[in-house]
Amino acid sequence: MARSPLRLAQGLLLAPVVFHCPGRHVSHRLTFVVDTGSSRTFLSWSDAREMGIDFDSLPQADRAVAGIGGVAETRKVLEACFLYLEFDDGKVESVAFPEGLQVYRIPSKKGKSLAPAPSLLGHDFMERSGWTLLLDFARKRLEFEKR
Amino acid sequence: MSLSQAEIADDIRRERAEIEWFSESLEHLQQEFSSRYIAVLDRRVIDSDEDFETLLVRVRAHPGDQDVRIRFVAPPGYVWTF
Repeated sequence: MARSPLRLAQGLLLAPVVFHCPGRHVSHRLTFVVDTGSSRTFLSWSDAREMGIDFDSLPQADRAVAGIGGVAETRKVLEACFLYLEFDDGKVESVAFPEGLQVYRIPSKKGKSLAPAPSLLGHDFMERSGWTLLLDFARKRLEFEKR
Repeated sequence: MSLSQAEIADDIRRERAEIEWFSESLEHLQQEFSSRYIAVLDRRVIDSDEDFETLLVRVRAHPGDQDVRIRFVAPPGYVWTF
């Protein structure tokens, strides 16, 4: 069994990945938050912007997104995207999103900068990968495992 | 654009090292950069701003700094909700 360790910081469960979107000629290292409460995987507006993808130029996503923090604006990268993780057997594995990925942004309050928001790994990522998400906080074992 | 496995692995390892640095340095970073975005290069803070876009424009003005990552330093006790 091979493991891909996760890291806790600022109360968030973090996964270092490489995001690749060949159709946009984009490849970038990013940190995603593993979000067991999210049904979908999302890029944040700020991660997209860092990669040269302008949120406002993207087409509207097919559905709105609501969470505890309120309703987020969503757009969509229509080109196929791939997320890569490294395992301790030395192999790099990818999870494909051939239909593209949604990008979200929390609306700004009047006179304020846009709210910070991390990219999120949701259920669709976990299902597609086929990996086990192991969260043993007491023993500090936080990882994806593949068989 | 094709990526080799070695290039991808190298990028992931750099990101992991930076996350670990960020996590271990968080208390110190919060003292100086609380509620600000920081630009990080090789585990060093090279610039900061309270506005993401302003910082990104400044960072991208330096062609040699393409590997800079921008991260948000939440204040102590900040609770993230999605």
